[in-house]
Amino acid sequence: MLYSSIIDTPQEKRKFEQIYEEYRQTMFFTAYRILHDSYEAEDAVQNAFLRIIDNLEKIDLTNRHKTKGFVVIVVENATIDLYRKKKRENAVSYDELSTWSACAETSDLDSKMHVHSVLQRLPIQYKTVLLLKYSHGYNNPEISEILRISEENVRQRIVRAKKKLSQMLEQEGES
Amino acid sequence: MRPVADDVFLFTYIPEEEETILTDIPAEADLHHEFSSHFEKKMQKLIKHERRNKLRRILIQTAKVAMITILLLVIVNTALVCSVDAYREQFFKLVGSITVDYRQIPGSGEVPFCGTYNHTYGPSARATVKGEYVDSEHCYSCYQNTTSCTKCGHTVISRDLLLHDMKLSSAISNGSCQTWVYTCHNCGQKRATEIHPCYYDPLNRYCILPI
Repeated sequence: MLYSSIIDTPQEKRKFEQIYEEYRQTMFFTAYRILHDSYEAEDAVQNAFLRIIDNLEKIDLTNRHKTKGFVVIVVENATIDLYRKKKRENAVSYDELSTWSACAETSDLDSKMHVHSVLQRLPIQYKTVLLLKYSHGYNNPEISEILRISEENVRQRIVRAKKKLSQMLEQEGES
Repeated sequence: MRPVADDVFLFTYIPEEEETILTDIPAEADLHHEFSSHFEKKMQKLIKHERRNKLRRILIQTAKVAMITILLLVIVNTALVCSVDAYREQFFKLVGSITVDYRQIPGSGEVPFCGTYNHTYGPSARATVKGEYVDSEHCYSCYQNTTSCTKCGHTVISRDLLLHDMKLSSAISNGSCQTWVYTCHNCGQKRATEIHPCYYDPLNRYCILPI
């Protein structure tokens, strides 16, 4: 592991240790749900922790709900990146990733509201930026830091996510 | 009316969607995955890998960048020097000129440069000594001796060679002579002058004097 991410202060160290102790099982569960492989899921969790170190200042441990949401988003994103890296030869598309998203939640689909069923089927790359922006309230530069993508990429993903969501809602409405 | 995915819509439904996602995840206490020792080891290492001093981290990062840059420059320069003859010759000349002081053993007799050399001494029998630069390769000086014949008083002029290059002098001879002999062209008087230590070259009538 390349330690490009470094914990700067003892306070941050304590914060990181707390996140590690309280959320590592949740993180593993999230990663395993996508990858279905323990070793790869652990790798994804490690990568997610490195990203968390880079964004420690954005985490407010007093708000456990938000912290859990943030941690889940980060680990999902790290997992997807790992998944795509492993499958690079096959060039995994957003559609393929969205298949996971839909499958993982299929059991609950019937009991969800119409809009939520659409949101659940939204490709995870799009859903991640929407969650960070509209649920956690981060701006585009902050999202680009968290997801390690460019600001332009963030902006594009949000635009595409909205477009895709509108299309899906329209199709759902017609059917 | 069909819902539109605008900001109002998203601010309303996305937090609810996140709530749903988080509800679907079991509580941390209900999950009991046993992480591999490899994972635990790496995570502990990561936690311990704390750096208190941010300035130190910046300095280390800067030093790393500087070292990489210098290394790249050295590699490029070496490649250039090795591939171009002119650069290569120039390079070795430069190295030679820089390291000349370190390439000789002090007191061994080698003179560190070849060029105009102001002699602080000469063969003891010489009344007049004129130092002049003769050869840049072997670095020696020609001494013009102007002394008088002890018998007829005729001025005797001879040229003596003073070598500053021990390699050459060693090549000429490894012996030494105790006397410098010359003959007066006017009266035939021979004169012997002690010069120690030196080597007399009878062919050229040069006294070779190691420094």
